Amino acid sequence: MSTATSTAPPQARPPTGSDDHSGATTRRRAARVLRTAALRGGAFVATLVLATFVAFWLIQLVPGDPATAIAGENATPQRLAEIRAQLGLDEPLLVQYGSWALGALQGDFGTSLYSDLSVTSLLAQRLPVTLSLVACSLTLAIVVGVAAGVIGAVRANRATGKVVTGAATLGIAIPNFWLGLVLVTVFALWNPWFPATGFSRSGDGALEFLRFAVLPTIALGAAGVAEVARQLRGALLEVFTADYIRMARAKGVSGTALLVRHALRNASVPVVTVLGLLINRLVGGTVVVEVVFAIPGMGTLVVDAVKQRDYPVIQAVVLVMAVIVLIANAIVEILYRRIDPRIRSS
Amino acid sequence: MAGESLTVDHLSVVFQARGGNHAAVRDASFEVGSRRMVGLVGESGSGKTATGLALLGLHDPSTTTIGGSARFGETELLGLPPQAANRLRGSIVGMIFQDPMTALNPLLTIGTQVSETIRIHEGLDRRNARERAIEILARVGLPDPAGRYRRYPHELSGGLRQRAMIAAAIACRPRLLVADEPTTALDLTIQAQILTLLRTLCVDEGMSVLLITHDLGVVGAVCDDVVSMYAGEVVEIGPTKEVLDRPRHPYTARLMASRPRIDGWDERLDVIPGRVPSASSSPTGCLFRPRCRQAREVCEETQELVTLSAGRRVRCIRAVEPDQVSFGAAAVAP
Repeated sequence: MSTATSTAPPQARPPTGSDDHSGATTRRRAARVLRTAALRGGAFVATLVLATFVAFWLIQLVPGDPATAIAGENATPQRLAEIRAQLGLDEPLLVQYGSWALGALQGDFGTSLYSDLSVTSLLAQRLPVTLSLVACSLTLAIVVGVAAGVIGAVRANRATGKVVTGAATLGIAIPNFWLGLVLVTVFALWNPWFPATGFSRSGDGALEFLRFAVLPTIALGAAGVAEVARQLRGALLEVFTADYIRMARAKGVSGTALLVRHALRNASVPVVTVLGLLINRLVGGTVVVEVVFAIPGMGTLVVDAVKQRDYPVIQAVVLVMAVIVLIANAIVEILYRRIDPRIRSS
Repeated sequence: MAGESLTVDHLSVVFQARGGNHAAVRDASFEVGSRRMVGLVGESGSGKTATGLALLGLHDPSTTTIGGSARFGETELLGLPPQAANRLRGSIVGMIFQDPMTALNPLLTIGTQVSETIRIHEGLDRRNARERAIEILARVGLPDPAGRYRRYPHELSGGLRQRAMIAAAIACRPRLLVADEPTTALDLTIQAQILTLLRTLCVDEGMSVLLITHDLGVVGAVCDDVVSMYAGEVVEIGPTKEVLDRPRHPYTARLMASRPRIDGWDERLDVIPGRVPSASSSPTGCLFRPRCRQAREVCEETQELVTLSAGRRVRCIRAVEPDQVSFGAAAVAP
């Protein structure tokens, strides 16, 4: 009887004790996650502010201003000053930036200085075009790049592997505008298989979309294919010599399981880094490729805007591109954590 | 559990490289008896690891030529087509490696890496393989096996990682385990634990173990027999106690003498002068001759591995001469 009463309390205690304990750990973990999220969010906003402000400042350093462009070369200084005042260009830079930022926060990016269209509606037209082009090129880079990288590594000592590796090295060296012009010449002018310029409108259907997208996708994505292939091949060749591959083989692992579960997973870490950088480069590369193929996307929009000093449009495009790059970097970060448990736990 | 033993016969491993062939193993013959633990000893570059990898067919066939035979029971291990070799690896013959830090895949959980072996060879589904894997993890002495099943290699200490690697290698109860320097990367107390574990597996599971090591202390602690290799050749074979007490080949004797001892701090370490001849050269005569204190003219002739008594073989002219001296006594004499 006495033993029963004396053992009862300790038996009852551990569950509550461990509950308290796990509750505290959960709270601590939640606090840590919140702190990390706040830090990340802060960095995100700071980067956007910095990028848009620097863009704001740089554009105004460039000689020539919208007032001259609107009123013409022979306008009187009074007329120019009037237009400047109308556009708010006579105010100090910081004030101008501040009023732009306030508007942007409320989703109002202003109106194009020339077309009288709201910048938001311009973006709504152009952004999907550019995003689809970037997405196609990225898919091409991943699918073809990974396949070529695997072939280059698995058959490293044979002719196929060497050809693939040689092609990848060449691919990195080819500039996208040159490749674009060659593609147009060969596959649009000499052989009219694909349209030389333009892009499908929404509602045209998948086939029509592909017809317009094929050439620009290749022009924009070829360097990415080469980059991914080269990086993956190098990483795989290194992984193949790793002890854990030998250990896996000693367990009887072979073929696809060995390649995918053991080799590719480990080799994908440096490739993810390359993909992050690649997204940034693709977003930048659309500017050139859209001009070559006369595609009505963000690239052509910003080129025209810069030529005409259409400040609100430039600002909005810079902001959107910065957001895309930041999102890409965040995705890369998440992928790292998914792939490598050592990063997850640190 | 029939009395299967490993018989290695005239094994040769030659690496083809630019600038010539490198013979890593030359005409090696030895046995690993059923349920016995055999120590394969020698310096770096003596062909120990090349021998072990050849038994599992892990050499790259495009750069390596393997000759001779290695039979385990009725099964020939060498020259198998890839699929047959894959079936054998992990199920009949297992192998563990030196560094548990690098030999476990850093991106996969311990559980995945152990149950992988089971799923490949026994076709079990995930849940059943998991149960079996946890049993095996417990068998190799991993505390909290169910919890450790979900852990990644970097979350375990070196000793536990080595246990996990052993678990992955023996998950399908292979009858022959090749252990390549399994304790070299571990500190001393953990070394003893892992060796005890290997010994237990050998005795309890009826596993034959080929223990590759450069450490004669390890051999003395756990092995039944010793195979001593020099420059790719087997130079001495015998029961552990006999070989360690009375080494008959000068090389084995010098290996014994060059062992650091805890009780002899003031003694100078007796190093073997010179180095293992490069595998690309093909010298004649006794290969140890240039480094041997007892070398004579007759040593320039090719030496055969001579059987002295059952299970005792030596490749040295002095071992078969009537006025033989014990090298062990000579080398270790104060």
